[in-house]
Amino acid sequence: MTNFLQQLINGLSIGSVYALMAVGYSLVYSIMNFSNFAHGGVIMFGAYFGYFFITLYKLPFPVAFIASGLCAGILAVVIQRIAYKPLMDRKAPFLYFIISAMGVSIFLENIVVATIGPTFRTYPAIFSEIPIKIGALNIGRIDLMMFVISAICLGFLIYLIDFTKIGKAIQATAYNMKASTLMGINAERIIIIVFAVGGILAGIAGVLFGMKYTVYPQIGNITIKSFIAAVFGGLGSIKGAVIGSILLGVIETLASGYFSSQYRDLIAFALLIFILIVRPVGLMGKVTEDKA
Amino acid sequence: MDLSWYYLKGILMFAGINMIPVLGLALLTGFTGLFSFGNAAFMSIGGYTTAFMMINLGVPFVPSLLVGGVFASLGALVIGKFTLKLKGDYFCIATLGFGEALRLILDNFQYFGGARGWAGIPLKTNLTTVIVIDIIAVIIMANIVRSRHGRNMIAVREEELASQVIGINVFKTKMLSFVISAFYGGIGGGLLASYLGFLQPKMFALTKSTELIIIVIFGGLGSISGGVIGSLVLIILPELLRSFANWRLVIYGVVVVFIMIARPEGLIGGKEITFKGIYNLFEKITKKNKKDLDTTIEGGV
Amino acid sequence: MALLEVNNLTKQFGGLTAVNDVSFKIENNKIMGLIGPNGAGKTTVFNLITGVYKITSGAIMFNDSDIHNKETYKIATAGITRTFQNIRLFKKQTVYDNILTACHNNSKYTLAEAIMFGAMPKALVKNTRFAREEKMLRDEAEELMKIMGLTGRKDFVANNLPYGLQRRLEIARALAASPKLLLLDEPAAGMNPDETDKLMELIGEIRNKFKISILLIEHHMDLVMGICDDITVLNFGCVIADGNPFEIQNNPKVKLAYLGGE
Repeated sequence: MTNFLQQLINGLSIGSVYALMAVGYSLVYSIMNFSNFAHGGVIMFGAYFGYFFITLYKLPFPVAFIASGLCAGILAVVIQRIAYKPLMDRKAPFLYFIISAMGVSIFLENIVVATIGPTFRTYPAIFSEIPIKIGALNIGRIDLMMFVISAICLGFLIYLIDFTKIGKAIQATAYNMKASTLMGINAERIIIIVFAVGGILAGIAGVLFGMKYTVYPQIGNITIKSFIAAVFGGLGSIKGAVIGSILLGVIETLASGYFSSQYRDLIAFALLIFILIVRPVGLMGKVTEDKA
Repeated sequence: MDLSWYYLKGILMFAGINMIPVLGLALLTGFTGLFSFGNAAFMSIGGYTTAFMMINLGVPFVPSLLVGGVFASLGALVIGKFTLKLKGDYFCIATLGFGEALRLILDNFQYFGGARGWAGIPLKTNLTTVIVIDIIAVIIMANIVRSRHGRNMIAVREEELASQVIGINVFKTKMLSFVISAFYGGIGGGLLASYLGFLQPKMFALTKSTELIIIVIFGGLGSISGGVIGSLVLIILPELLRSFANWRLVIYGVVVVFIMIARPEGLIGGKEITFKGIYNLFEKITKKNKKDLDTTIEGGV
Repeated sequence: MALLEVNNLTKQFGGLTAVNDVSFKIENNKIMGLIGPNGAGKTTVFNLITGVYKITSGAIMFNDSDIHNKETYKIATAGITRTFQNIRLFKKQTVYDNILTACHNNSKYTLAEAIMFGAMPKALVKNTRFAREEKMLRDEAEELMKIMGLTGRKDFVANNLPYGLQRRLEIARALAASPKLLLLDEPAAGMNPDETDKLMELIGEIRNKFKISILLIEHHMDLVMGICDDITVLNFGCVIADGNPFEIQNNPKVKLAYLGGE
């Protein structure tokens, strides 16, 4: 039983970080209707930003943390301006966006390899290695931080989306961009905001990942998990992305705990395939019929 | 830059080998409109099957190659059944998922060497073989595209609903395209296995699938010539610039974004280079010269 | 037996009943009009007949067999094709290719044959099924273009055609699939009176030449009254009247639906 709870907690922790990534990805998907394959690159840059802010510039952790998020947000907006906006203006089919995103992703990963080099880097220990003991359970401090920080960020986000005017504007634009511009919403501004928010969340997720594991250029591949989580929860749904991510994190951790950690990623893909067969629209997605 | 014939031959073979999966993907993506991010999986099925046939069963090269292609096609039948009913984005993610899943399975399958790979594959691929197979591959692809089956694929790409309404079995058409692309992928994988002498699952990861798609788009969607020329350009050029190895992929990334923004129809622009086309172009150029000549004479008199 | 029989057809989308207990018959070689105010459910009926939507209840019979809930392409092969309100041509293909593609069902050659014989010089493969059938398809496409007056624009890309010709091309493509029943969804939309007259003639010609039946959704009343043998009127998903043009024109319920009462 303790083992189960232990795994559950680990799963929640990793799931919460998946949630940060998946939400950013789902936000962009809900507005632009395409899969932002460059998301992983932003996550990776977030990890590197954090690393250099802490080691090179010796910034205190909270400052470095926030700065990384902001820089990642800016990066996301720059990407949108350069790689997606021209396509939007031309009303290009969504697949062009995916390919452009792919190009950005390849660029980001390899520019790091070419300039800084592919060596693994480790964050200096920010938190004590001693786990917190609750009864028989050991909760790693990093895991706890991951969960808490993610929860706070997601809380902010849900507040933003559900309770602020900007949030309603985002929801409206996601529902129908043309109609919302007719209602006086500046779609372009909303798009920038959405990318910025997604980018900030990605940057934070990157820092958390970097802290927990190591930092290397391919760390962005973890974004595949956010795709899976977002599809699982229902593409375009924020709540779905959160639920999907938590479930993915928990299932992954439990499965790898009870079977073998080698199969961890495989479980995630098996889940994806399962969802696509059984209920492609995801947990919170809506089933619609094609209108002729 | 070392330009010995041996080195050049290697690059040409590498380009020729990769051209085949690219052609297959050109059919699937360029002509049928399905963007697969997992076609490298078919290369790996073909590669490992070919290796198995040659090493474990002692079957000669060409039959092994064909069996590799067939197994890849069977893989497509299975994967297609699950993925082809999905729309746009979902199909991309699903094929990506299958591609990576297969790689992970191979990583853990010790009989084929797991992640360390499988070495000792007989080296049977040579330049002549590659060129011959390339020519056959192009001819077959051209015949497919110009048949009613090819026309149906193009129709599905353009307007899926309208295609159904004129009696096209969209699922079957997509599956046909998928299976053929897999066969081509499998042959490419088999040729690769016997060219390198070893196989590793990570050779067929998402990066490879992405490279294939990039080449197809670079050459131009809906064009076989585009697939051929795209392969030659995007594989040979970077190899020649080996000294910039790290920057090669950086440039790839920039090129892709640039194409999407500036010239999404790719290098060839979706048209085909045919003998007739070259003849017409030649005529147009000579006619223009003749006209200039006439006016000069008139002016001079 | 009637060519098409729609019996008590009902379609519900969640709480909304788009089509409510609709019944009508179309006989061989007749032109039927389906009219009604916007939102009456006419295109939904088309979508149900062609298998784009699944029915909630009722039956659709074509040539005495049930076709409701069958897959669209099977219904097309059985003999029902259609055009769309918002024109779904293969936009980047030429006029010729749009029509040629639709002829495909009239040939039987396999892909293997195409692969083997495709690249050979014509003289060598003249007698193979592949070459013969391809020639037949191409001849059919040429013939159809001639009938529909599109031969001059054979190599035009569909997207570059003027609007009226695009609609004509869509009809040609639907005909190329050899239907017994042709569904036309607002074929005269956006046309001026002159074009509408020409279209009327064309539809009549098609019925006579191809010996098919036509079901037509339209708002241009001249076209409807001028060419339809029978008319069914829908409002809010229900049939409020049916009969010949004269009967419909003088039907008070129809007048109420369209003009909102005197």
